[in-house]
Parts: sequence; structure tokens; C-alpha cells
Amino acid sequence: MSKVIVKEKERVLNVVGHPVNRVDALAKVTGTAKFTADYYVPNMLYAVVKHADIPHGYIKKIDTSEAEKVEGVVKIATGKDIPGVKKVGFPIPDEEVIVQEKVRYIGDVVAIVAAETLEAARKAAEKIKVEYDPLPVVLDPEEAMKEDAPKIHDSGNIITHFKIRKGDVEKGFKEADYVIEREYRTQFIEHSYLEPVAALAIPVGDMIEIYGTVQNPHNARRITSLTLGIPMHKVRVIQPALGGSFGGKDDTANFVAARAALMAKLTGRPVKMVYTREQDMRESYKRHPYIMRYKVGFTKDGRITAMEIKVITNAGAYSSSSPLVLYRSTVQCTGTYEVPNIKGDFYTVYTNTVFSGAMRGFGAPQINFAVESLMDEIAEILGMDPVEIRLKNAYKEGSVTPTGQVLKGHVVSIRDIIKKLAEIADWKKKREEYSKDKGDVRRGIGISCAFRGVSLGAEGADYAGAIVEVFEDGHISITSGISEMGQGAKTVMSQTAAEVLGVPIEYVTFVGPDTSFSPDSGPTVASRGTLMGCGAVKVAAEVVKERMAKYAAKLFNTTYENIVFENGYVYSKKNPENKISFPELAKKCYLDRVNLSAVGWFLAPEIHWDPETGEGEPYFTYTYYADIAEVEVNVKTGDVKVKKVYAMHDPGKVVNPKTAKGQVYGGVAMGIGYALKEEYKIDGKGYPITLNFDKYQIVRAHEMPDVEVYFLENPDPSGPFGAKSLGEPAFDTVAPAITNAIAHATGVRVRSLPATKDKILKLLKEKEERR
Amino acid sequence: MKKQLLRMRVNGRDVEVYVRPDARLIDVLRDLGYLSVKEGCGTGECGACTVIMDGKTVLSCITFALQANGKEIITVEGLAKNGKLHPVQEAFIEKGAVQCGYCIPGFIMSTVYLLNENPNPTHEDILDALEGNLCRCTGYVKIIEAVKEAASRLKKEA
Amino acid sequence: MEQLEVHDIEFLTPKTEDELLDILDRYKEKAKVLAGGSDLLLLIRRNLIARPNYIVNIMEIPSLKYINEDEETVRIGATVTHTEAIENQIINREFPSLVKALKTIGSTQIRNWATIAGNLANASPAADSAPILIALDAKLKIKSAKDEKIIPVEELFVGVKKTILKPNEIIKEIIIPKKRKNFAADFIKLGKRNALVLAVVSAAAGIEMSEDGKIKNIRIALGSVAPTPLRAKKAEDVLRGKEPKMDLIDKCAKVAKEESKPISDVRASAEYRREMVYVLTKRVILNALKELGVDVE
Repeated sequence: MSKVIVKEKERVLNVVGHPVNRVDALAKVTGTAKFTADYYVPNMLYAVVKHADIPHGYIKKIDTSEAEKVEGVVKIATGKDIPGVKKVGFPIPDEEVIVQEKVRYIGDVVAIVAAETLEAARKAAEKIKVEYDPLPVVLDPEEAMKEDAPKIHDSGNIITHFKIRKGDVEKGFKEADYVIEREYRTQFIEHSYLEPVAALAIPVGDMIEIYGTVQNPHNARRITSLTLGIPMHKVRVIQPALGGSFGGKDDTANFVAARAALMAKLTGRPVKMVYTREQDMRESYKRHPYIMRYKVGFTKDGRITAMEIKVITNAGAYSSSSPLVLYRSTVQCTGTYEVPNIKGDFYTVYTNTVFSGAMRGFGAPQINFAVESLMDEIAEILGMDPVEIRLKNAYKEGSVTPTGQVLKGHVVSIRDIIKKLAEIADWKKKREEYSKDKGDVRRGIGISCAFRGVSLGAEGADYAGAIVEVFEDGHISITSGISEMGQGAKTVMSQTAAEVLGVPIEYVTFVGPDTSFSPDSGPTVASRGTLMGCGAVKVAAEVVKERMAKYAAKLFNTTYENIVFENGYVYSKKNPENKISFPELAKKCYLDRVNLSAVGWFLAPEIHWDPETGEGEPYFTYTYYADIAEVEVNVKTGDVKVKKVYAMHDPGKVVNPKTAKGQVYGGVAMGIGYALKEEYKIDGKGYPITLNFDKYQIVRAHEMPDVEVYFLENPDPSGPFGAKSLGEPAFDTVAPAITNAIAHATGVRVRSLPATKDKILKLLKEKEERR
Repeated sequence: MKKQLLRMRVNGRDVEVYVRPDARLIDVLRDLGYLSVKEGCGTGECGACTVIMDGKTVLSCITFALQANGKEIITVEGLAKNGKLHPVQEAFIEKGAVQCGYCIPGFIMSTVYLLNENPNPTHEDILDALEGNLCRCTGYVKIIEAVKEAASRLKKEA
Repeated sequence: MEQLEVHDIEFLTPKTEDELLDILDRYKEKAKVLAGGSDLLLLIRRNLIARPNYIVNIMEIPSLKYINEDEETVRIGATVTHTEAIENQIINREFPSLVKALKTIGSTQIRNWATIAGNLANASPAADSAPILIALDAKLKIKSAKDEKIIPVEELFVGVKKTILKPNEIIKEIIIPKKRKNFAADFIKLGKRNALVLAVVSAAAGIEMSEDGKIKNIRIALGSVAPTPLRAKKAEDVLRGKEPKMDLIDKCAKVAKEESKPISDVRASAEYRREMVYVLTKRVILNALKELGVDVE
């Protein structure tokens, strides 16, 4: 295998850009990595929640008398036991850690039992009797938008309405040769992280220490502090090893932490709460189901002239991040295509279903499904090749997005990616060859592409902090509020520190995140972990490096600009025999009272978007990517096998090729599930049906196709080493590539996800009958 | 409810412990300190709780502890010898097969079992062997690479 | 389901058949037989059955662990696991279709410990080994302390998760008649490797040809399309005694489709399941005929 030279401009990179082994892999393969449920402390109580019995109604009475008689029960809490703020949440505080007056979905928590044993707590929770005044239930968001619909919250059921008004759609439709209307729908998706949510809260004097499955420890601290009515410095949240998240361990995980903390406060003892898979699936938020209606005008040579869009998303019982998810859908509503005239109305609506919130993709996967399906439908009408139609309309440098933002300052690589990927996949030949298939098994090939605004966007406060400390023995400790959930954050941040300080990665340890010493860096979401975490670590490491360099310069009697840090050594460029090992230099600095620790603060560029007009710059830069999928469809059974996926990403700079590829493979697996088999189902009365992996099915090893991953690096000026984003791009446009391939194979198009065997077979039969 | 005596050998160590008659094997193992055994679903669907009992993989979350009476159990904690990692563990690190890590102990045990039974597994054999283990992070590609790497490392050792 | 307020529970591990049957006779419905364990623990935890006073582990009884053959039959003992059967020479030699079916059940971990007899006794509508055993004309020896009887596999099931087994009875062994040379059987489950997915639909067919090229006997069994594994008798009648022609096979499959009474659930609609009965029945029949070297036009 040839040696890889990794460069950042003229500089050769020794650690960043290399496929370094994960820093936390050893602990995980030896079973010594501790996850939240692996913590046990003496005198610990077990806490179990009681969930709502009905999806909508006022609580008349909670009778805990039978429950209290269960041996081992120590304390039962209900809504009135919350000392602090009763409603929490951002951007709209409508969430209740324990419900106060009414239940709004079947996963609401009505009471909490803390007992000496888990069995006692469970038994007691079952014996709590709640009397309700039931209210009418509304499960469909369009029903919930009607005037006479039952109100989930007093503020009315429409939470947010965003608009895009660009150009003149009526004029645009007049210019078009064709105008079509299509409706696309997507389903509730469960994150399905392998580790269920859990928390252990330990009172220490007037402090509460919490270990939790929290993606965002500082948010867990905030929620706990508010709920308990205690100041934030009295709440310490520690994130142990986190068993996956995908955006799903914010709200619910924070509530579990706050609940454990509440019971710890009330009993004065440590309290552990570990959810069963069923409890987790019942209560935790899901990916928003979307209803998307597109009216599109296009010319006969394939140019899109206008789009009129209506999107309705089901926020469920609480708003959570619904407005923010809607924001992304709004500003990315035409996918990666330039449309001169747009009229878009985007709504997110309360219902009595489980609430929807952040999940990998955050409002983009749904839009991508609609837009990428639409492009293929347009291509079909015009007899054009799907790659051709995309190239006709895709963004390029200087293109204007739906919000009026001009794409510049970074390489708009989508056209390049589409062309390259189509070539690699042998697109033209397969497109023709597969369409000739007869017999029971038909092959198909489909493409899908997307772009993604990087990081939080204009609606978020985008900052991150890190601390880098060099110890007297030359080894280094780093920390940040950016957290590890399997994506490799600790590793890439360690690589960054090692790169800057010119040491092997083995010198670096990442500690935390722990709110008592890790700087709040906002949420680890939006695929911003590498960009912001490494950004902050880089800043901090450079500060320490400068101090050490100045000290070394004094030692070598030269100027600080002459000092090089490389491979664990520090030397003078002009006189390389003036050389000292990094540990020796650290020791000297330490003994001479040099400050070897620094806090790095990294800010994303300033941007602004006006929700009233829909105009502005919602993101400071974008990443571009595409997927091509090949499928085999059995037209007798509707069974789809995904045989091959080609994925090409432009993440700016790949900090770790090994972990980056892992992200893409994982994203493909999740994309196949989204496309073909995952659906969290709720029955007509509001009760969940899919509560474990027997009924909610995620992809298994044998269902994975052969996957080829390509990275096209166009370093971005805003990111450390040019890095942008990868986590969500790895997933958010895989599904439409698959459904487009199915359409190619069968001639029928599924417009609602998942594209089950059932649906495909039905469409095939209808097609037969129409003949 | 009277507790009953459970005698088993875990990672080469003889264990005698009194357990509830309806106790699950996963809970008893974790109470004994073998925290590598993870609960992901509690219904035998995800395989995170996989351990080896009398030489065969078993789902400890749906097995009664007393079923293990007189039997030998191996968990991840029993794999490394004298501070040296088992080739399967090494392969999982090298190939980047670990992400969040929660499913990994289960996969490692399924891999150890597979390679014990079949030192030269085909790609299909590996897919069959891993069917009972779920992963949400990795997309399985690197896990399968790790199994192949482990097979080759084990052959070199032999 | 009425919950017995159980204050006591004991885990028993008898060492002999007599001890086992005696326990069951004494405690009857207060006792629950535990074989591989993949079902019982969950049933109890999910309150799908009443908590038993006695959990009776039958896996340590040597006289229940065997796969024996004689001239006419192969007999599989109550505690034989799926893996043991899959790896067994006799079964591979005599009933490759059974091995094929067993491989589609559960996962490696489940197959290692779950017993075939236990899976049948659990009587899930998707009891995955039932269809092929029915197609192979297998029988079960049911035993209690005082009694013993032999029934065809399909008579075991009376409803969803309900068998004819009385609380003091166990399945002692599965008896499969050895096949003459003009016999072949096949089994298909929708999506070959969807093992952990409780089957959407499965179909099995056992065909015996006569010297004159007609179908002497045929047995068709379906899984997951009725409350119990279903023997498609009307469909069998279409082909029994006839020459295997494509239009007849097609008709047979259509009749099987009509005979099935599937439900709609999260995994598939009833309509889809019925359509799959047609597709899979046709396929298993054609596969079995192909194995017999019969050309169908």
C-alpha cells in the first residue's frame, strides 16, 4: 500500500487526514468503556416512570395508595413535586418533565417511582391509578390545522409557518411548457440507538451529579437546573460512553436526567433510571412525518421555472426542535437546484402522536425524497436522463438559493460530483441495460443528490469551546462540550491537537464532556462536531503551541517563527541540531511556570435570515453529495434488494478517512431502512404498535449492499483544515436514490416511504390492470 | 420467593451465587461485574447481550440464569489473556469496526464463536453468523472486514 | 389474561423423564416447561401468560436428547436444538428441506438453544418448522406420566399460541417417516434470510410421484396465513392423482390462496399475504418437482 501524503495547502499533515485508529476503541472492545447503565453506586435507588394511559385528556386524579404499599418503595413523585419550572424546551418551552394538568400523548410521564429494587419500582408503577377526563384525539396534522380541531396546547395547533417568496410563481408557471403536481409523504422514524436512554443522579451535598445518555450534557444541565429550581453550578452532568444518538438523545434523555435528579433530591439518595426498549420507543421523540405537495413548472428542455410548495410536518405533542427542523426544510426546499420563482408555505403542527424532533438529517431527508423523486418524474415526462436533468438545474458558483443567498466563497461541487459519480457507476450503460430486463427479477439504477447547509444556521448560536492542557510529562489532555456518540468526535479532536502540537496521537487524551470543566459548545448536532470541535481545539492548541514555541526560541536563541513542532520533537528550522523532545520542552516550561493550558473559542461566521420574508443567508457554507443505488426488484413479491451504492461526498477535508467511511456506511444502512422498511406506527386511537425491534425493523448485516465511498475534497475556508460536514450527508439522500432505482426497475413509483413490498406489489398490479 | 443456588464458571472463574428463580442470565452476569454484557432490547432481537455458554452463543437477556447452572460462560472480559488482546478484539480496532461501541461486545462474541466453529468462513457464512446482531452506527461493512481480518490473524497464530 | 397473584416461584431441573412427568402431573398449570428458553422468559415478562409457580427446565434430561433412525423413521428428541438438527448427518441426508427450513429460524444464538419441539409447542402462527414437518408427514409423540399418544403435527395446533397439550403433557419426540425415492419436499419463507422477522408467509410442499408420472400424494402446508400452521387440503386435492401440468399447478396455488385466512398487521396486509401464498405455493411445488426431475410444461 503506497504511502499517503496528506496536505493542507503547502503543509504536510501527519495526523489529520490519516486513518488513525479511534482513541476509544480499546475500551469498547474490552468491555471496559462505561456506558450510563454500567454505573452502580452504593445506596442506589431504582426509578421507573408511569406513562400516560390515554393520548389526550385532563388528569382528574392520581391514586398512588396501592403503589405506596409495595415493599421497597421509597418515594413516588407527580407533577406537583416539581419545585422549579414546569415547562421547558427550546425554542418553545412547552415540554413537561412530569405532566401537570393534561396528557398530550401516550408517552407523557405522569408519575415516577423510586424504590430499593427495580422489581419493586416496576410493580409499584403498575399499581398507580390515574383518572382522566378524556379529550378528543387528533393524530393527523391536516386535521389538527382545522379551526375546530381539539387544541393540544392553548397556543393553537399551528406552531410555526415559514414562507419563501422568491420571484413570481405565476409568471414562472406561464413560462413553463409543463406543470405537474405531486404529493409525497414520509413516515415516523425511530432513532434506534442500541443503548436505551438512562440516567444516574447522585446527590453530593447540595450538588447533583448526573451520568446520563445525553447527547448534549449542557442542555441536560439546563433542563435539570430549571426543573429542580437550582442554579446551574450545582448541577454537574457527565457524559459517559454514549451508545449512539443520531439526534435522539436530547430532549427525552434530558428529561430522564432531570427525573432521576428530582428523585435523588427528594430521597437524598442516588437514583438510577434505565429505560426498557419499549419505554424508550413509546416516549422518545421521532423523525417528523412529512406531507409535501409540489407544483412544478418546467420547460421542454428540462429547465425548472417555478415551484409552489406546501409542506406540513407532524410535530406531535410537543414542539421540541420542530421550528428548527422546519427552518432547514424551508431554506433547502428546492433541493440542490436553482429555481427562479418559488412560493413556499411550510407548517409544523401539534397532534396527539409521539412528538417529533431532531434526527439525523433534520428536515432535509424528507425534502430530498420529494425533490429527488420529482426530478426523476420530470425526466420521465421529458424522456430525459435523470443525470441530465439534474445537471440542467443544479447549483453552481453564483447560483441563488430560495432565500436569495448567493452561493460563493466555497466550491459549489455538486455538478462535478454528479458527473464523476455517474461515470464511476457506469450510469448510462446500466440505465439502458437494466431497462431491458424481463422476468421476475428486474434491475434498476437510480441517482439522488443533495446539498446541506453546514452547522446550526442562522437560527442557532454557533460557537464551541475547548481546553487544551499540556502536562509536565509532555502528554496532553483536551476537552470540549462537543460530544462523542460514536461518530468519532473524540478521535478527530485528538488528531487536531496532535497535529498542531506536532506529536503522535498517542500523546493526547480526550476527557469529558463534563459540564464542570468542558466549555459549553452548544449541541453536537447538525454534523458540526468536527467543524466546531476541531475548530475550538485548534484555537486552544495553537495558543499553547505559541507559548511553548516562544520558550523554545529562548532556549535555542532564535526567533519564535523559526520553531517547528514535528513528530514529537521541537527544533529550530535554521539550526535543526537545536532540538528537544516535546516532553522535555513541556517539563522545562512547567518548571519555569509557563502557562501550558488554554481555552479555545471558535465562532462560526455571522449570518442572518429573516423568517418573515424568508430571505437571507441561512448557512455560512454548504456541502454537496450524491448517491447512486442499484436494486433488484422481484415483481412477483415486491421484494427489493439493494445491490450496490456509490456515494460521493465533499466534506471539505476528511480528517479521518477510516471513521469517515464508517459514517457513510452507517448512513447507507439507515437510508435503506428509511427507504424500504422502517416505520414507527401508531394505531387509529393514538397507541403505538411498534415498540421493539421485532416490529420496528432496522437493517441487518445481510441486507447491506456493496458500498463504494468517494470523497471529493474542496477545503472550506471556514473549517479547521478545511473541514465541513459528513454525519448527516452520509444519510440524507440515500433513500431517494433507492426509490428512483425501484421506479427504473419496475416502472412504478412509490410516493410515500417506506416503499414496502406491499406497496410496490399493489402499484405493479394496478399497472397491470391499466393495461 | 426463595433464592436458588447457581453454580457456573465465568471466564475460567468458578462462581457460586444465590439468584431469584426467575432471574435473567444478563442481570446475574452484570451483577457479578461483567458489564460488557449489554441490554439493547430485552427481547433477544438485537444480540447486544450475546455471551458464549458451553461453547455456543446465547442471548443472555432471554435466558434464565439457572439455565446456566453447571455451565461455562465466556464474556468479552474473558478474551484478553495476560494483557494481550484476542485477535478478534485487535481486528475490530484495526479495521475501524467500532463506533459507539454498544453493540460491539455482542458482535465480538458472535465472531469468536463463528471462528471457533469455522476458521475459514465465506462472506455468506459471516452474514449468517452475524444475523442476530444489530448495529445502527456502522452499516456493518467494517465489522465484516474485522471478522475476515480476525480469521486471518487466528490462522497465523495457529 | 388473569394474573395469578403468585407469591412463590421455583426453578426445577429434573434429571429424568419420569421426574419431569411426575412434576407436571403434580403441579399441572402451575408449572411451565422450559426448553431452550427463547420464548418462556418473554411470555412471563410481558404478562402474556400467568406467572408460573414452577419453571421446569427439561434440558438436563439425557433421554430427551437424541436423533435416531431406524428403517422407517427418524426420531428427534424433545430437547434437540435447531443447530443440533442442522448439523446432524442423518437429518441432512434424509430431509434436506427440513435443514433448509430450520436455517431460516431465528438467529445463530436462537438456533443454538431453541428446541424444535419447543418452537412447535409455543404455537406461534409463524412456528417456522411446522409447515415443512407437516409437508414431510411428521408426527409427534405426546407423553404424560400415565399416557402416550401419537398425533400428526398439524393436529397439535388449535389456535394462536394454543396447542392440544395438556399442562401435564410434553412433546417427547418428533417422528419423521423416511422417504421413498420418488419423494421430494421444499420450503420457502418470504425473503430467505429474514430469519428474525417472524415470517410474513412461508410455504412447504412434499410430493410423492407414482411410476406413471402422476402425483401419488402431495402435502401442502402454509405458515403465517392463519391462526395456526395451515394444511392446504383443498389445494392438495387439485393435484393429487393428477399429472403435474402448469395450469393445474397454477390452479392449485390459487386454491391455496383462497384457503388461507391471513390477517393484516404491521408486517404486511392480508391482501399481500394471500398473494404471496399463491406465489410461494407455486414455487415450492415447482422446486420439489424439479428435484424429482419432473419437467413441467
